[in-house]
Amino acid sequence: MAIDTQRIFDPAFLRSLEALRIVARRVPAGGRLAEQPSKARGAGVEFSDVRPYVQGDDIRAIDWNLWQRFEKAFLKLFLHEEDLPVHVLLDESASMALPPLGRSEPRDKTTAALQAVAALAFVAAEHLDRVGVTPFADASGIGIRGITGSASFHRLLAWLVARSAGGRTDLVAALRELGHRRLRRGLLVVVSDFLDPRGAGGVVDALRALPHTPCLLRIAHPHEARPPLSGELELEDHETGERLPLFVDEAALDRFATAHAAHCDTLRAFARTRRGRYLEIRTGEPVVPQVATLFTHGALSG
Amino acid sequence: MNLAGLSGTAFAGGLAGLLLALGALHLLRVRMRRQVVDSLLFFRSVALHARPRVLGRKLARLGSFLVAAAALALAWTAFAEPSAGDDAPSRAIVVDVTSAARASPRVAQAEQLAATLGLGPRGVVVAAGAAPLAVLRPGEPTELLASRCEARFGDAPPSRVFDALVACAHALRDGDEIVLIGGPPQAPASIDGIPVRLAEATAAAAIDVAPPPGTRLAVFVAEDVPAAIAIALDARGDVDRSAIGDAVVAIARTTATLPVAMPAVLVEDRDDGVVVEPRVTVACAAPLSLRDAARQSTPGFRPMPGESPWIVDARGEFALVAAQDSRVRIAGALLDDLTRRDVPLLIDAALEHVRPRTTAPSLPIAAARTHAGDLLPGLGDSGTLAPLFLALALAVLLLDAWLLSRGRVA
Repeated sequence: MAIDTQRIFDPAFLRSLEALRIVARRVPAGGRLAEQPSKARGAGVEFSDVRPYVQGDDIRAIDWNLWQRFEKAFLKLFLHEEDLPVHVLLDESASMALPPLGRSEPRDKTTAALQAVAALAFVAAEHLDRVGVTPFADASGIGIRGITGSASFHRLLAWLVARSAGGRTDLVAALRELGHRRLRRGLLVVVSDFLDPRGAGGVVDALRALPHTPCLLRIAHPHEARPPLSGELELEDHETGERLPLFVDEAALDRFATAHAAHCDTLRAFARTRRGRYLEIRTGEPVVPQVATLFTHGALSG
Repeated sequence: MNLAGLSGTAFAGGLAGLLLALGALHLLRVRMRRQVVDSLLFFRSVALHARPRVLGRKLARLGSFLVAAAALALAWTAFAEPSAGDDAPSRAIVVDVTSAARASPRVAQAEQLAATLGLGPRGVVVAAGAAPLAVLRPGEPTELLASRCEARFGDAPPSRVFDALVACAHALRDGDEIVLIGGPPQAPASIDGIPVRLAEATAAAAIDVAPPPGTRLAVFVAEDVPAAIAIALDARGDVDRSAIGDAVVAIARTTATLPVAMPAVLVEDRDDGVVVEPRVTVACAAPLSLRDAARQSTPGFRPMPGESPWIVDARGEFALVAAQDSRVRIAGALLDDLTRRDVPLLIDAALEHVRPRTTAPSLPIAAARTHAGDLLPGLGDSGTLAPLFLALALAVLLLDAWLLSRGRVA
């Protein structure tokens, strides 16, 4: 399904990214999007430990105070601060292209997802973090890697506008494939509607097997928790074509809302346990301000 | 409430068509609205709880259709009045037994007609006395007729015959006929499209020539008409020999001076010629034996322009009987033979043609129509059951609406 690129990255959106730049700069020092201290000791500025000097070490790192006390050479160790990668999983399944129920406006989840990815990549570029985006539907697609800096950001935008939606949602398979790639530990941003047939439990199990810090951006239509449906319906899954006859009344909508809330709570709870973030991005509202709320309480850190 | 009186085939076809239409409407009515959703993930959890009710709704839908179909079948049955018999034409024989003096020969004639012609699947022999009664039904031996009618003989107003005629017409349908034996002179030619045929006299001697009491006779007979006509008119029993000025129909020679508008049966003495070959009955309603080769030498007359020959030679040159509007000309030579059994029939047919007939429902018929369904219970109409059927149909349709109300798309 082709995507209207003119509508996704329109001038209003690009202007809102400028506002996001300000938000990103307010992120406190040491709190870059994916910045975190590496366990590897190196040439940083933050002292970490000492160890005995061995031949070949940089003599500039010898702790002369300890030399005076112990008459033995010790080498000062500093934390080596390095950027951690931002791995983005972008949902491109057919469900992302479906407009809201009962609404005539052409706003779909794909637009919001692409804008969210662009906004996050913009912040990452501001902090010279490295971003890689992997699309997925029923299988992972060919992604884009090494996005860092503004030049790369524009490359990312060009890549995003070429996306199209289609296929079934198999987030669990995409997460497993991501795990098999043994990527460097970092921030895992999943931009999806999380409508995997295995449910939130299956998604969380797959996420739990990964070492990354989760940042779950759930793209949701307005009234998704309580769809404006009623009566005798034959529901058709947009992705699979499967049909389900159902009589929808208030009681059924209550049960739907309960299941929907449990689904979201499962994702939110998992993100909290991993010190990650869970954010619901509503398609009916501007995306950038919603993404900016990720940084209102500080940095996103892996 | 007999609106159609359809045959079994037509009834079944109509019912099948209605049921098909009902089925189509039912499917359209309860067909679920299709809604494309992004995922069935959460709806499945809803369906898990709702599954028992889904089964119940399916049964409700099926039940709804069945009761609606039953209601439709009942209503269709009530209105269409299907007949269980075949489509063969039927005949109702109405015997006027209002006059005890003439009832016996009429019943004998009815018995003979029923035996020879048959009644058909919807036929009946009705004794039209003080109260019309079906005295013989299809399949019953005609010998029962005399004994069943005997108790019904008695003086009654001749208008009671209308009750029997209307009741029979009510029970019959297109293609059937009513044969009236006796009856008042103003008997209609048809009732509700069912032709009323007057039974032919089997013999002049068998006709009771005594006019029934109270009957107004309205046919004037000129003094010089042939004796055969007089005998034929006496056989009809409704002849008034009063002055011509009061007559409704005149029977006279063509030389007589008659008012222009007066219907008349004229005896034509003119002899134009003879073509020795069989005569052909062209338009005469009476089943005359003249259609055979008899009387080949009878001289005829040339029909006048606009005159429709009834009996004519094969060339259509010389007519023995011809009619135009309210005048019937009969060749005088045709009436010479006093022993001809065709003469009364011919005169009768001519009188039927020229006499103003009651074709529109008259007062007696309208009065009889109001209680036609009660006159011959069990014959044809089931008027007492039709409202019950309709009330039942309404009840089941209400039930249908209630059942569907739970599944209707909001």
